[in-house]
Order: sequence, then structure tokens, then C-alpha cells
Amino acid sequence: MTLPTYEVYAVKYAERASSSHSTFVFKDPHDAPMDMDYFVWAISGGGRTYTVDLGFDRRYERGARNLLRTPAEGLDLLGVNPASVEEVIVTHMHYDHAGSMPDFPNAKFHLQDTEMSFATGRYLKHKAFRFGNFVEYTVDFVRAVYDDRVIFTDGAGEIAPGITVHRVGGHTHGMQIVRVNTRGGWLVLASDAIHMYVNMERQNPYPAVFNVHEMLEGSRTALKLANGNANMIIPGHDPIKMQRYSAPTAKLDGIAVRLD
Amino acid sequence: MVDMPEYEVYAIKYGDHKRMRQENFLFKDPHDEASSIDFFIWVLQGGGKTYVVDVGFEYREAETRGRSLHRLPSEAVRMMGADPGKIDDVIITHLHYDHAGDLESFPNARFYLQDREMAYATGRCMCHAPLRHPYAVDYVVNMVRLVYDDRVQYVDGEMQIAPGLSVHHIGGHTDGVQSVRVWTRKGWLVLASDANHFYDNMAIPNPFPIVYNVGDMLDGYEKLRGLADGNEDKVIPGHDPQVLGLFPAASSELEGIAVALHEDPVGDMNKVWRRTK
Repeated sequence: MTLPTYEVYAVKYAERASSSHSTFVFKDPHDAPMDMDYFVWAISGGGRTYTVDLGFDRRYERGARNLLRTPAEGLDLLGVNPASVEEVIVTHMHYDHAGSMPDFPNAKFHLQDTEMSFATGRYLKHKAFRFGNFVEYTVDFVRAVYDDRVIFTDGAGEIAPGITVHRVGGHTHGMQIVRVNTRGGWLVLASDAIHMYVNMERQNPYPAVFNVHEMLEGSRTALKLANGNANMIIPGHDPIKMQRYSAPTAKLDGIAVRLD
Repeated sequence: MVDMPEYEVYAIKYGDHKRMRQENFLFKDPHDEASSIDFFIWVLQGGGKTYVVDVGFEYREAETRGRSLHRLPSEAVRMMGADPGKIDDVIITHLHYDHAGDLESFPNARFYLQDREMAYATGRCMCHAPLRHPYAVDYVVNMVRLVYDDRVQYVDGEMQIAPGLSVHHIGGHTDGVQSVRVWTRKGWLVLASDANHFYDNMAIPNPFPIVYNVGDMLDGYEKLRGLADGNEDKVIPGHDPQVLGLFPAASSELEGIAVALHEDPVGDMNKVWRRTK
């Protein structure tokens, strides 16, 4: 049986000015500007669309992060109606990935066991970790569990033929990445396992990290899942993505790109 | 060795529910009869401080589940002469609705909880209705908020809270249920909470039917005996109405409501453990 292939899109919903010292665990002497984009992703094939991550919505306000459109509005522009999305893969529960659940009223959410226990567990008393999580979004997820709307994965799991998730940890304890079969081969949505291309190229991870060893391993796991082809790995926050790939339509220029 | 204060330990009943005895056992029990489950919180006083074990449920959940709430758990604390607003340390044995509801009445407390209890109460086991049923999502969510307010002290296994006062992971009933061991004038006393619901569950043994892992629950009975230095009389079950008759009342006004567990029993302990034929 041949696996179905999917079209994969990145939808940009926010951006932020940042710097290289904020981008690497191990600093180099020069602090240079290095901006960040915020994305959600859509995977379409076989008449279904799966989305990856929920971004943040207007409930979350933190200064510099410039919300251009809610993730739901962004998907809508791409022609994906958020209300008809049935399955959302949530790579991890940070505020910029786990936020707009109310805009997806009919979806179930795929999450790693260790991500939920991390987001509700002992490490969240440390500001360093709490900074990444927004309690209202965590609460949304706990309620979703009790509504039978969370599907837990322990390690690796198949979402559909040709779409699998893989726990890598590192950035958060239950960080997972997504492998998708496309016309060009296996594509890996690394989300925050690899924030920027340079994090991967320099083997110097992003400093928002729970376990540095797992974060470094996660980068290798992503490469392995991409059959060794680094070009098939899509980092979570790199603005270069918008230049490397092209918009599916002129109208979506600067908003969405097709990744496969 | 650090001097351990002797604690006074009180069980205070805050509610109850009529049910059949058969409902208390996993495996069919030959006897069925009208029975009752009592709901308790526990107050510990020693070393100049007051500690609270569990915070029961409040009016909303009592109504939802048709349980009799005689007094708010925080009111029960007040009846023991303590101000809930001034309690620093509350031990939460587990997050079931009848143990973790009245959190807001303790605005200055730190809550001691097992890592595994939160992971259980927010994780994949809650995708199963029977395991989810004893949890109230609003209570779980309140505890999550307390985590983000840095008011939860997580415990991985066991922890000393003060000299002569410690908590111990037992598991079984839920993945993260913990029991309390406290030093008293008669030695170590163990508040089993729901690691053992009724004397009969542990005596037969025949586990309470709300159970996550039967092996851990049965092993738990042994752990509880061990924590009580082998003297099961000093293991206090979490829901047994007999507790109120076995120990002296905390005061004459609190007859039938609160008992002093650190005092010698006034009832026949042999009978509850089925030692007499």
C-alpha cells in the first residue's frame, strides 16, 4: 500500500523583533538582530485537513509579540475553516502553540503524555518555565481532557497514514514533531524542537529549553525522520521560511507558504 | 535525632452519603446491607502549628453528586479553633472531588501533592469515564492555577513536612494518592485517607472499587501497616463511619463530629479488624 501524500502549509500569524543572544543557548560575542515569526501549519490530503498547533489568540497579551491575525483567521485565509477541523496536533503547550482552542470547537487535540504532565507539574513553579506557558491555555487543555477531546500519545504515534508524531522533548518535556509524507518525500515540521535554521546548522539550540541533551538529540531525530535531508526540516519560528517557500496564491503573499 | 513534637490529630466529619455495603468492595462481599460513607478532613496540631489534610468538597459538587454536606471543610477547620486563612500547609492526599474542593478557603496555604496525582488527574487516564468520574474538573483546574501561582509543593514519593510529620506515596486508588504519617503520644499514626477507605477493605482484604491499580492498592495496605510500625490499629481509614465511635470526641460539643485520633480508642479495635470470631 502506498502512503497518501499531503500538501503542507505554514501560516504566519505573528512576528517579533528579537536578537541572536535571545536565540542561542551558547552566546557568541556579537548580539545581532534576529526576528521571529509565529506559525501554525496545515496538512491537507485525502479530503481532510489536519492542523498543527493553535498559536495564541487575543486572550494573550504580552507586549512585543505582534499578533497579525489569529491562527484561526490565518487558516481561514488559506481556505481552511477552523470550525470544521477535526484533528489538531499540538506540538507542545507553550502559549504560542496552545492558545486558540475556542476557535476549534469541533477538534480533538493530539498531545504527548509528558507534555501535559510537564505543563501541570512541578517545574512550572520556576519562572523560567512558567514564562512559556499561559495558565488559561493550560486550563483549556485540562478541560478538554475531561471533555474527551485530547488524544494522548506516548512517544511515537500515527495520526493518519503518512502523518506521524514523535516525542523529542528538550524544549519542553513533551515536545513532539510531525512527519508528513509529501510529493517531495518525508517532510518534518520540527516546531520548537528547532526554532531557527541556524539553531540546527550551528548545533546551538534556542535558550528556552528544559533538557539540553534532549534538545540536541531532537535536532538529530528530526534529521533522521527527514531521511537525512535537512531541507525537508521546517523550523518553528524562522522568518526565512517565508522567503524560501512561496505563497500558494498572490493574495496569501506574506501570510502563508506551501512547504512541500 | 531531632526532637519530634507530639501532634494532636483530629478527624472531622463534614458530610456523608447513604449507600449499600456492597458498593464498598471490588469483589463481591457475602454481606449486603445499608451502609454509609463518611467524608472527613483531618486537622493536626503540633510544634506550634496547625496542618490540614484534605479540603473535601463544597456546596456545588455536593449538589451535583447528591451528597450531604454538613459543613464546609473550611468550617470544620474553624470548629477546631483554627482560622483557615492562617493555615500555611495543607496536604492534599489526592485530587478526587471529596478531597480537593474547598481550596479557595485557604488563601495563604501551600498545598502538598504528589507529582503522579496531578499527572494522573490531567493525563490520559482521564479519557476513561470510570477513572474520571471521581474528579471534578473545576477542582483540578483550581489546583493547576495554584501550580502557576507557585503554591503547590510537589512530592515525589515521600517528604517530611515538619519533624514528626511526613507524606508517603501509596498509589492504587489513584496513581498519586498519598498517606500521612504523624508522631503522636502513642507513636506513629497513619492517616491512610483513600489508600484505605474502610477497615474492612484492608482487613479482608477486598479493595474499594474505585481503583486505578489493584496491585498497588493491595500492596498499599502493607505499606500502611509498615508506616504504623506494624500496628494496624494506628492506620486510620479515609471514609469509615466507625472512626467516630472508636475514638473519643474532640470535645463534648463535637460529639459525633470530631474525634481525637491521638487518644486511646474507646471502641473495640479487635472487632473492626475481625480479630474476634
